[in-house]
Amino acid sequence: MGSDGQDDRLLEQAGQGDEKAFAQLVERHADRVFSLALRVVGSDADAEDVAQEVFLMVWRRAADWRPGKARFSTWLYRVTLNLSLNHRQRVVTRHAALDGVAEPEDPAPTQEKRLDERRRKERVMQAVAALPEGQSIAMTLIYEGGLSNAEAASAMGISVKALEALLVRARRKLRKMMAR
Amino acid sequence: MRLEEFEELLERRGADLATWPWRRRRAARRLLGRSAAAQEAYDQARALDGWIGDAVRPVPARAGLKAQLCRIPQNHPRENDRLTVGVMLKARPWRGFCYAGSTAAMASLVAGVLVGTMQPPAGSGLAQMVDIASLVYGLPPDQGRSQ
Repeated sequence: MGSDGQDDRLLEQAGQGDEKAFAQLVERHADRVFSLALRVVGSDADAEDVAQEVFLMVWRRAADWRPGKARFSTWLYRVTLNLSLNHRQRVVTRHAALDGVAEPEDPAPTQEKRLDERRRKERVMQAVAALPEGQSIAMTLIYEGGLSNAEAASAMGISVKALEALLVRARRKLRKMMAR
Repeated sequence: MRLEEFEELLERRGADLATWPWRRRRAARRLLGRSAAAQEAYDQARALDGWIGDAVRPVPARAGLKAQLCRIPQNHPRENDRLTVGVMLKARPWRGFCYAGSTAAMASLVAGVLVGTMQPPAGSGLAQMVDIASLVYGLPPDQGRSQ
């Protein structure tokens, strides 16, 4: 069974009150929900609040979910994004983006290749974090969420053309940064 | 497909050709087969996709958060679930069946005792009822009555 089919099945079971099925949905999606929320709200604590709101909504709406109408992950990211933006508006103190991102562990000094790899990864991470919010979210939905352009556009509530414009600008910027 | 169009598509859709529309994908493969510049652009785009993919990994939620999330059903019972369980517990619909069942059993027992023990005068309404009951239960007429 495909990933979407599995989500649909778990949602149906959760809709019927199956708490284990709900726990499996949490296990499958919590990291991505938390991660996307973190990119928008900027702090671990706020991202956790958003994740709570998101999964509460999943639990409450599970019984109404109609399989085949939309991909669950697309809906989930749209909800996460909207709740994150709402949450950020409510939060008075602004936190720096990606505060809670764990830094990769230091490699052994002799492993030159790994060190290069780490440096490059850090540069890309910093570059993605430095992207304007729309571009950063678009990249996150595509690369982290595995959504198609159409699905990411739907999650962000914009047209596919607008999403692709964000992606083009982001990729150009990243390529330029990486070439330096 | 021209190189410019190919490069533009790489920026719009990324280097995973599988996600491109079928016609464009076929044209892109043909172009890759004959153009070194297209191949170079493709390799760069793939490398960039790989770097981004590596860098943009989900930040794992802490285990405590996941445990909290898993407790949502207990902490926030849904109205429908509560209604179903609550109504069942409060209304106890089986209670009616129990009452109806025991009442019917009692009535049947009393009727049975009456039919079996009473000696109605022959020709009376009750005697006729006993005869009918005897027929129903396959007894010979007058068996329930003393001679």
